[in-house]
Amino acid sequence: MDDTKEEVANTIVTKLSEDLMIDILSRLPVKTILSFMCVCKTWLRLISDKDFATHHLSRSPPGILIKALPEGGISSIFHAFQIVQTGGEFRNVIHVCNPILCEHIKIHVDDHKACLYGQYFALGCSATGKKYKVLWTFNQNDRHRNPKAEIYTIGTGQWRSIGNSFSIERLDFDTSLHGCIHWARYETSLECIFSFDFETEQFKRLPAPPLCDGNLDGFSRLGVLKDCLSLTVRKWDAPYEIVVWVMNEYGVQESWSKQFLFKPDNLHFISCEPLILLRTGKIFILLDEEFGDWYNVEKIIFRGRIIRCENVEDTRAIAYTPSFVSLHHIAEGEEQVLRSNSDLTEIPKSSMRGSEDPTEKGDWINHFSNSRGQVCFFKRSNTFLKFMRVIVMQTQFNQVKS
Amino acid sequence: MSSSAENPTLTTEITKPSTEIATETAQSAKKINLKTSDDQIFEVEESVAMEFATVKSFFEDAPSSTDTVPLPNVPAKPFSQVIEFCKEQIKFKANPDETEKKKSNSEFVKEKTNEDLVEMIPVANYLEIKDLLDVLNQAVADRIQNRSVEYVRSFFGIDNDFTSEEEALLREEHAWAFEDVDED
Repeated sequence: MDDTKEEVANTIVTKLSEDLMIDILSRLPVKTILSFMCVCKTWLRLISDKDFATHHLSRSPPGILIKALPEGGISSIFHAFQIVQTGGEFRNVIHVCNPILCEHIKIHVDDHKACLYGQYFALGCSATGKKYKVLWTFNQNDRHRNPKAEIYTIGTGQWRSIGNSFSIERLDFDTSLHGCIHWARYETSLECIFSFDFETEQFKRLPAPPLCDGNLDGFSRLGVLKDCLSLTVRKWDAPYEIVVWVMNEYGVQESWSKQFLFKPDNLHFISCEPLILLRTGKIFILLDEEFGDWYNVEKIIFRGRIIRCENVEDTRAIAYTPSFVSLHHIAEGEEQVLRSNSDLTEIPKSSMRGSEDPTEKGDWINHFSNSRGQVCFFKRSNTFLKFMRVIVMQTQFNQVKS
Repeated sequence: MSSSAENPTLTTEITKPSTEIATETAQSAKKINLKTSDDQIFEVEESVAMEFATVKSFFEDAPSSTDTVPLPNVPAKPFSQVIEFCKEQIKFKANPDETEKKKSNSEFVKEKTNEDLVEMIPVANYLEIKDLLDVLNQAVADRIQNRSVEYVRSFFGIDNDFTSEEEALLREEHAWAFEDVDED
């Protein structure tokens, strides 16, 4: 009798083929998966495999990465990887890293041709070719009004000029859609939205929503909600409300419609950026604010607990999809993939200002899994989460009839 | 653990579906005989059997066949539970209601033991019942999410084949992943 019991227990796992096991594991949060690498040798092999990374990425919900800005102030993130330009003496080097796997590569930048200000690095992935590329836009030293762009395909080891560009001043939390990144120049008016397609390597203009005479009349941010490009406007004047416009059909001006309207109790903040729409109907909104002591201590409502958060300067929240895609697989032509905590400390040293623990990578990772309407969360530091104010607002938004 | 204890229940579970079918649908539906790996014969309504892509293609290849369909990779115990699931699913086919369907699915997995779930997965996979496979894999993932390594080893009956040095090294590499794990 006892023997049969043993037999049953031992065959359970063998009954599940590796394909089935990969399917189950890929549904777990990144933190759980990392810890399960030490369950047994088979699982370590499965989780480290290229196929698992692909499978997992297709399922991995977008999360939020809070990072300390490097002194250079330039950073962008896409999907699985993060790009960091280190400050000070390392100004001519950028790093592309996968913070989950603690891997990074260095890319050298010939920045003599570029003005110190007005350059931007953005990371993206071509929609079909699955090539990861870095876009570099900069103003030339001699001709300030003629921004240029170069592309670096990871694995090729070299920059290529792609000619004239629209300059990028900032990328908002998440503007990645259909293989393109999107940005706007938030001045007094908003005439168009710019895009860059990482597949075709072309810049384009997209129509902006029909705001009053094109006047912004408030603070605005681009974003992606429900697979559509969105523009959130927080109006300066009464009625004090926050309007979220959504471009229901990509590229079609007529398809812009007012999707959500918030009327918060108070408007003691300047910027307002919806981050993630949860299935529970909650929406995560980032409120970024400098003034008033009301804002020094903030609350995040999470799993019914309230976590105190403090403002820390020079931090930013960026959309981030945690992934197991290894730089070893996509960066074969690079000089070296560095892996280990000691190698990585080179990055945070110059960008550590927000962090207290020098062994950490200078960032906190928060993962909001919205796949089943449940918010889960992890952080990479024992210290309390410190960053800009993030508030979960209960959905009090009204659907606006367009 | 429970396999020997469950043997008596096994037989009652097997006889139950066939008697039910006999009384319920004597007048109408065509029935199909399916034979499990442990030589149990299940008499299943055609509409339920067609939920199994593997069985469906068997009849597509041999439309006039009246033989018993052998299911060499399917043991009786998980199979009876799979039939239970598919019977419920058919109700929603005629009357689609996503909320009710989700509720019914979550009730189905809730009352199953860990072992039940893990044993049904290869059956659902072999019979190519996509919806069930998705429900089961998600249910197992939910049960092991944020659990300790030790818990998961016992959940699946996995032997740790790392040396203590190797394991310590792996734990050190991603130390943060082992913080705040749910208690076993």
